[in-house]
Amino acid sequence: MTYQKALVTGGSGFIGSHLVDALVARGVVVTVVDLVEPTDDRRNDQVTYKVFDIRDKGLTQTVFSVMPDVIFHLAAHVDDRASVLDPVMNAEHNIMGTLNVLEASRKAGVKRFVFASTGIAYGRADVIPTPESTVSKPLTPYAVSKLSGERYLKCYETVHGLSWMALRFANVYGPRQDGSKECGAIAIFTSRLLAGQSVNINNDGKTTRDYVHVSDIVNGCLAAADSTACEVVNLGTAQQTTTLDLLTYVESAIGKSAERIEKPGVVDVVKHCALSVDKARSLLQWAPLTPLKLGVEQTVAWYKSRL
Amino acid sequence: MKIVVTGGAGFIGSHLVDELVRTGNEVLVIDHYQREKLRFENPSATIHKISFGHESLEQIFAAERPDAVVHLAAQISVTASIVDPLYDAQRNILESLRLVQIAAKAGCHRFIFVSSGGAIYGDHPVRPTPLLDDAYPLSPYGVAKFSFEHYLEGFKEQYGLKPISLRFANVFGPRQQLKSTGEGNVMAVYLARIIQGEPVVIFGDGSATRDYVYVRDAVSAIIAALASDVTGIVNIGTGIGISVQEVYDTIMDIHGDRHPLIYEPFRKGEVFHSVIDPATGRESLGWEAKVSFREGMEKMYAWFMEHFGKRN
Repeated sequence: MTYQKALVTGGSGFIGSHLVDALVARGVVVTVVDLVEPTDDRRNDQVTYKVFDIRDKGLTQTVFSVMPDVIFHLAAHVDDRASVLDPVMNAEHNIMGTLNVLEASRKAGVKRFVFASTGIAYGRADVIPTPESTVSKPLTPYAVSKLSGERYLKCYETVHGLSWMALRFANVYGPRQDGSKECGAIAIFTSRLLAGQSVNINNDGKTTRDYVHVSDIVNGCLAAADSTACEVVNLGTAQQTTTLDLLTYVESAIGKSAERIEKPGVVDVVKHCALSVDKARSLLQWAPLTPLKLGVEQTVAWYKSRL
Repeated sequence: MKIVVTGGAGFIGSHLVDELVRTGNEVLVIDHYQREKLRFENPSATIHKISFGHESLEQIFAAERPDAVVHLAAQISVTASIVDPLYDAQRNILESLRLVQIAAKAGCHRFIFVSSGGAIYGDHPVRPTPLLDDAYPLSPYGVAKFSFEHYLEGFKEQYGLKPISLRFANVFGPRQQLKSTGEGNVMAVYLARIIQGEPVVIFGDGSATRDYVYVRDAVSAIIAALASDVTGIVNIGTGIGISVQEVYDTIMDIHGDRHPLIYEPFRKGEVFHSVIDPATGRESLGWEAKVSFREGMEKMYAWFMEHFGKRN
């Protein structure tokens, strides 16, 4: 599908800001709705930023004034551990927020809806790399909220004819990720190591995740908007990397070793995760292009450039 | 046991409360008394006329420290969920989540969630539909029920409260009424039309099917769940599909007179066929439906005529 106008929720965020840049580079007119203004490194001068909560009634007005062809719905509360402590707060953002965006989309007749979901929605999958045909058994409120979003999309397709795609992201990393937050191991390791701080190793350090570079995720989002299929599609690398191996990559990119503090008490609800990318390959002609080692080096270089 | 029943003054809830009281339990009803014309109070139950989303809920639970919660109250209209999915999610996900947290905090060890087999399975090609881990509900109402089941599954590992979700087929029987909005299950709507002397409307050609569980059987399923420690998700149905036309014909047969019937287009978001395989209810809870559709329909007809029929 070709389109002129896009609205990106969460466009001031890490992934959103990269997506916004790619859309602008394609000549798309972009409006961002986000809870916050973008920081300077995430701002794109050709984009209109609307700063409010996606749950606000003003969202519908904005959607109607912009009349976007495509909505990329990335805004969410993404802290999995926080969602366990406060599931209602998470649902306020991710379920009520998503429904508000969906309602505005159907009322305004948006042609394509791309939803950022998560690979964590599979829960403890028996098959790794996990294909989309696997039954989802989400174990945290965050994972449930994302699966719920997907189900709402399917239901909006049935009832209102909405065209949608849900992308189950693996663990996304890259420049602009905030290393001061709870999530984003590469960002956290890099920031702390560059600041001369110690690094926490949760559990035994052997938890595995599928780390995918943000530029690959952006390409996947663009391909999802171009497609007309209404499906759930994984975006990952199909590779598992342990926390300890990941730290080694960061250490070698920086050229210095971290002081490691073992945190044996922190339990990861999902121990191993990697997403099959066969469906993305066949349906979207998409593949992850950034090898992890190279991606980590680029990411480290970006953090260094900001020192 | 001390048991909280949300929606305990309503249709299924009031039958449940009567049975729980009769068998010697202490019962607390949380019911906002808004939906139907008639609410049903058991004099031995303590009744709080508030919504389960009310602020005072936490204090009530802290003071009462119940053993178990049966969560029946909900936004129950599929149509309303399509018109306002946010309200549906507010009640059926967010406020329900808060209820679980409050219950867990108050030391409650059993949480029974009344879910919906029909709304979750949608128009599943396999009928009777066995217990399925995955589903694509056709309405926001079904999505919210499905989501809440998932939340409960996740809570098994976090809270000391054992959750079970009962995916009910369509429950019917005495005390089932039209809601204040004029909506209701097909039997209540037909009976009301007959009493008002208006034609009965079938949406579609009458071949849409539902699995009807008589309310006494539905109550037995909840009681069986209260008596067990089984967690997870269980189907509660009869395994028998009854068409809308059959519902109309059965009512006409009991009524003893043909009442005018008109057909209108099928409504979007509504499930066409829904029949629930009861195998998991039998295996996990030792439950099965005992009352036939005809017998249940006769009881419902009699109750409806007694309460809403024209006196002469």
